[in-house]
Amino acid sequence: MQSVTFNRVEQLDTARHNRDSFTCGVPQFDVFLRQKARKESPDLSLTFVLTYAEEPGDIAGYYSISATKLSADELPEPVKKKIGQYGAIPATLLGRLATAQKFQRNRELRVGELLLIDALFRTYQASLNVASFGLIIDVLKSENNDPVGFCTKYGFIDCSEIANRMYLPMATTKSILVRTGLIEK
Amino acid sequence: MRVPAALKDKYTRAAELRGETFSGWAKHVLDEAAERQIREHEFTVMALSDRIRFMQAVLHPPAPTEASILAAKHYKKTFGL
Repeated sequence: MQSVTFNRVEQLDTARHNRDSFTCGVPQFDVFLRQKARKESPDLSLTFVLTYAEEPGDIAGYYSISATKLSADELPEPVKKKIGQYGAIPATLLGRLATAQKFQRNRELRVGELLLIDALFRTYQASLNVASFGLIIDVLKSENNDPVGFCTKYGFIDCSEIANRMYLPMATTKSILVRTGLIEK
Repeated sequence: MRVPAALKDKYTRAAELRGETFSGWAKHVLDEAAERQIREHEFTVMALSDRIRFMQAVLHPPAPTEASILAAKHYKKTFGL
């Protein structure tokens, strides 16, 4: 691949972004982008895409996030205190994150990393307005892909009961962003 | 609302048990189902032990990993921030 100049990650715009040509090797993720990722999709998730200047309509990767809650039922009292006013544990669900196949083997561009950090950046900023205690990610394993390893590397913690679900507290996200100067302390 | 006669008998009987007319009952049942579905959709189902682990991590957040710091630096450089 020749030189690539990435544009800032932005919300999917079906008029400008070519969803049909996107392939990441996991059919569900390709189909999701084609069918569901509208600005007002029925599952209330928002989809963000990474594009590049050389071919502005081409999607190098995408992720989708939505607000979610975890039940506070049966939680120990000290923990319930922390949740306090919310009544449930507000969190952010990173439902999907996918890199186009032609970018997957490029170790210099690291598209998956760019998408993940953008998701962290965005959820942190959103959490200043709407509370979120952390990011929850449902990873989908496939033959050529081990998302659990990817997520562990960046600090995500394994759920013990639900295989392939992982989470990252918002405070850890904030530390990542502060330590690299993406946000101020 | 049009429903097959056989079902309508059953629904009307159910409505009477709640002291409602068929259409009043149908409205309430639909409303309950909608509420439940929306509520379930908004919630991510997680076992108690995982919710406790999640909250423990919130209260005692782990330090960022080296890879996450490198990734954030890569992000910053790529977008010229």
